[in-house]
Amino acid sequence: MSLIMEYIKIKIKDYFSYRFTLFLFLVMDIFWIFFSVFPFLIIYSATNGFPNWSIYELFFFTITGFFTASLIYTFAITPGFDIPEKVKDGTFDLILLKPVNIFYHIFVQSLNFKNFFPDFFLYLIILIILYPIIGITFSWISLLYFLLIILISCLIFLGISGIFIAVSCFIPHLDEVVELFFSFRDMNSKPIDIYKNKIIITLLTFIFPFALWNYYPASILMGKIDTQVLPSLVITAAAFLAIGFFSVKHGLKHYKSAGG
Amino acid sequence: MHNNIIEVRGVSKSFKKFKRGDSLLDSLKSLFYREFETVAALKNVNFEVKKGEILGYLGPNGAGKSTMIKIMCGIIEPDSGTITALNLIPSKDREKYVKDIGAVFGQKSSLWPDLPAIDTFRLNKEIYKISDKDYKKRLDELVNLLEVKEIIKSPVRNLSFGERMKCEFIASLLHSPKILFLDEPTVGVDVVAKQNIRNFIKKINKESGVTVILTTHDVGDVESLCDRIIILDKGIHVYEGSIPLLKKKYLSYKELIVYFENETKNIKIPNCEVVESEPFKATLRVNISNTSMSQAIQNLMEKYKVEDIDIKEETIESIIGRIYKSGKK
Amino acid sequence: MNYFFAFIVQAFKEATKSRFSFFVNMLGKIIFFIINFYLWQAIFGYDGREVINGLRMEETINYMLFISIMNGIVHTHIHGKVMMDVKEGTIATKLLKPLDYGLQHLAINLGKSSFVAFSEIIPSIIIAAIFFNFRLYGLFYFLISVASFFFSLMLNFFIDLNVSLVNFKFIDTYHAVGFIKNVFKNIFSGEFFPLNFFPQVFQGIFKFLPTTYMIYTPVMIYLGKLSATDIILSFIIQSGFILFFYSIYKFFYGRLTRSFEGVGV
Repeated sequence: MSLIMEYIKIKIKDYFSYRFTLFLFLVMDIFWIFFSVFPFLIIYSATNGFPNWSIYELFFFTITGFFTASLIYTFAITPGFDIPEKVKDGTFDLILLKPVNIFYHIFVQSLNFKNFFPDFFLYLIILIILYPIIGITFSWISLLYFLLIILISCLIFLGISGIFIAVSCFIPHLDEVVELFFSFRDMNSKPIDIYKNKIIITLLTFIFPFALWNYYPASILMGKIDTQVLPSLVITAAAFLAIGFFSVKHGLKHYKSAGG
Repeated sequence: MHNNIIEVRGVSKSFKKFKRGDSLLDSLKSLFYREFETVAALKNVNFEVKKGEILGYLGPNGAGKSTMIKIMCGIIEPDSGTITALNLIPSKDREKYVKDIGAVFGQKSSLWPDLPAIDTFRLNKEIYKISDKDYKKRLDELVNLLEVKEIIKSPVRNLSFGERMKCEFIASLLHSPKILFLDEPTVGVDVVAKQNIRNFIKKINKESGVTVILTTHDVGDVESLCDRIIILDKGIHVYEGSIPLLKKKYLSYKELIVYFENETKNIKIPNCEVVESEPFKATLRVNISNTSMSQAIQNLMEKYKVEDIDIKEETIESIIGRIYKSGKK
Repeated sequence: MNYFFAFIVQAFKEATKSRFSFFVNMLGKIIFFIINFYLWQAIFGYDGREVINGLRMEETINYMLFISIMNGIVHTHIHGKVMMDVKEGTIATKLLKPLDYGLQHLAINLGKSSFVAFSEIIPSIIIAAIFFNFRLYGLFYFLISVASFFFSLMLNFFIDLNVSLVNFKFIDTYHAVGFIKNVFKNIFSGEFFPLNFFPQVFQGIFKFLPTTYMIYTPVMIYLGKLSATDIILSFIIQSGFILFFYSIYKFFYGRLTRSFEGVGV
């Protein structure tokens, strides 16, 4: 426990080592919010918009995605970026030289507070403000399901991190693959129900599961979908975690260590 | 045997590298088809490291030194052969093994660049589960030895190379390891800092008995630190022994720098080669496998009027360079 | 000039290094095709009109498909590279080369974009045509739009390069500044959706924005929506913007490198 606390301390210190970081990220977040909802405003001004979604529901959907992303980038996906970089330049050796369980060490040393401050707090506040505007009746159960799906998505992306780490032990240019994988996040900037194609919806739910960042938590809270989907999401999370774990285990056997 | 802290038996390691052509056409071809070649980094390597010794592990670039160091650190596994260190198999018992080793890599930093080194030290305290008391004692000891009290609270990116290396040493020694791996620790460091680091290594080796395995291209490091050296070339050990033994075995010449009383030209001495000649001075290379220095000097004094003589031995650097070139054992 | 072309060739060769990412890029394009194909059908279907702000559904879909086919050319690879050069101190070795620092990066970008053009455009057009009803609106318009996209690359590059200069004074702010620049660019270049969807009042402003000439204009050329005069004018405007941003770069670059402290070794 003390190791994770020490890592959290050092990472937060590192984050604040540049004075203007917090302010800059806040400015970036505000711009990001504006420019994410702005296209919806334009489309809604020129057309009837997206079927079954009002403009405010779309705002809530968008901010939910950002809120989930702040948690995923802090706790789940960063190992998948960070460790392949270290594998590529050989500094992963320095991690292997420490007497810490490798999975635990990969997790704690990849914790990334750049997406936690101020994102998590900013988006939480906006969600709380938007909630009464979209006219949902509050229910503890819906809130629980909302949080559960966010947790599931964190676990899935932790598993995906493991897959990236494993692949990086075989392929030197993983960063392009990761970038490509994340381009699908842009695809999920619209609610996936507008596609009306089961294959696409399945892909965006179970293979490139960015729909769990925004569509599923927002829809379950708004009552647009029912809880039938939850068991399959839980199984998906378990599957990704297992695949991620065994991938890392297998990948490390093939770790060659770059450089001198 | 019982005094051995590391034993390496029959270790071999190869890597697959794909062949790339130079031309644009070759680059485009490589999109669809690639040829691979297997490069043997280590070939049936055998050696031991005694507890408390400072071993120099040398070789030209690409010899396989870093591969061997990584195998000894447990970072990678050999393809064949066995290695035991501290009675453990490094790659299999990694977590247990690395508790008692430290490593400083000249090219890879373990310090957080935007934070003071002291933060990395605190983190290492947690990683190695060092008690508060031991941490404070050890840190004070190392900081005083390396004279870095003023700089450990400055961000690492603001430190010079030499200062950073000193902090790297502290980070690697806080947990009092039994073996310390140093992979080119003085590369890029200025002369004064280099001397300080060498003195420091000698001191900790003497006082705490830590075994040091050092890879370096700096012959000064080798001469001032190493009890024994191993020279590796193309994955094979080509020499193993002490520096005096290396000189005894491989020294092929010494040089006489002669100062003449009168202007002297066309110098001819049996078994001596004139390397450099000026009117009142000459450098003569004496082939000591054919003659002795005393004989050469006697021949010189008999023939010419000599004011003064300096004797220079072939440098270790030159000897090692010859060994690299020939791959001789 | 030789150094410039040497950099281009080197970057081209480097881009061929990873076979895996090449095939993954193609897969990414296919998925982008799928998403936009259904997305715009849904929007037009829900709206009910055949033409929205001058574009039919087929044209809007082809607009988005063409962006995906071509955007690998326009993408600049300078993003974050200047920041890393400054942060790690490797800029020192680049400044020693007999080629302007910005032009080194331009050459590298041209090399990578040339590889993209060579390897990705034809296969992605074939796939889009077979599965997503993609079509050309005339070979002439297609070729002119490809040329326009190369101008877009240089325009995009010099804008990014100027933004990168922030690193010389304020390291790590590039993420924020570059981010804001990218978001602004993505919307107002027409990459998210055609600029026709903006209200009429914006249309006049777009003529004066450099972002309009990055994606929207080349794609409109491809759709055959611009007259010959408009096409020529668009190339002139693109060239003008390129020269303008290049001049800004030269102006600030000299001042910033003089006051740059570098990272200690």
